[in-house]
Amino acid sequence: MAPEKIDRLGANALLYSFTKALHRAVGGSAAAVMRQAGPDMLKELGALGINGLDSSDLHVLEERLGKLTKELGFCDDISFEEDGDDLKLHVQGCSFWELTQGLKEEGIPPFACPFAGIAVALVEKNMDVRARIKEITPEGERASLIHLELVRKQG
Amino acid sequence: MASTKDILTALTSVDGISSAVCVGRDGFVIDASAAPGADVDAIGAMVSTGLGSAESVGKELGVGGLTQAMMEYKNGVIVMTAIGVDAILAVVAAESSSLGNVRMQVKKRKRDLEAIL
Repeated sequence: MAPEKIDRLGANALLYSFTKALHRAVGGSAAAVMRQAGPDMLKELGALGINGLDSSDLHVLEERLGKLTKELGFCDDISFEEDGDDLKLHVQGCSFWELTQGLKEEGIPPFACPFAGIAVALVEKNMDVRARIKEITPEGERASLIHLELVRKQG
Repeated sequence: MASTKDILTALTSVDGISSAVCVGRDGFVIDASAAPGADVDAIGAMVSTGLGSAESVGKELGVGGLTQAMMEYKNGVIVMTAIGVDAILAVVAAESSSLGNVRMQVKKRKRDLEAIL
């Protein structure tokens, strides 16, 4: 029987191949696919029995998202920093580092970052705002800053 | 200066055009003038990937950058064009519309949107 846990590098290699092909097919519009995937990521995590990501309190979301991503082995730590219409996520010990670095080496932006996709879906679902990824930049080895712009709904 | 909403509303006031959507390459809907009940977020993603796919075809076939894309369906026509490098304008028109006029309106409003985005 196959082991319960998939090898991290193996998973990165598969995701890298898929996302590179997606980018080749639709170019910069691949980010739109990830935007659509975000709500499904939340739904699928919920189906795994991981709930509680339904608070309008950013600190609660930070704590719960951090707990679940650590439990799933997605990263070592994740923290939020809110400043007006900007929300910055600091991800430490990212398990998808090889994926995003591999894309970067090919000149492809890290559009497939699952933390960014989940974060956009999370704040849009809970905070009555729309969110947009401004940039994703490395903050050291296996660490990234994900910068979201929060767009307040009008009317 | 006209707002994005003004420009999109002007487009949907053209005979035959029912929806006009301006989206970012990331699928983020910047603004829309659409019939009530339309899922503009889903439309945004489809418009972005549709135009991206058309651009990739042009790249693979070596025919240069895309200026405008038009897709004809059984009950309507969709015309899309890039607004700068980060945004896209898409309009939905009835299949009975004057396609020349729809394309001309899109071309005209593209310049207006490029000036403000």
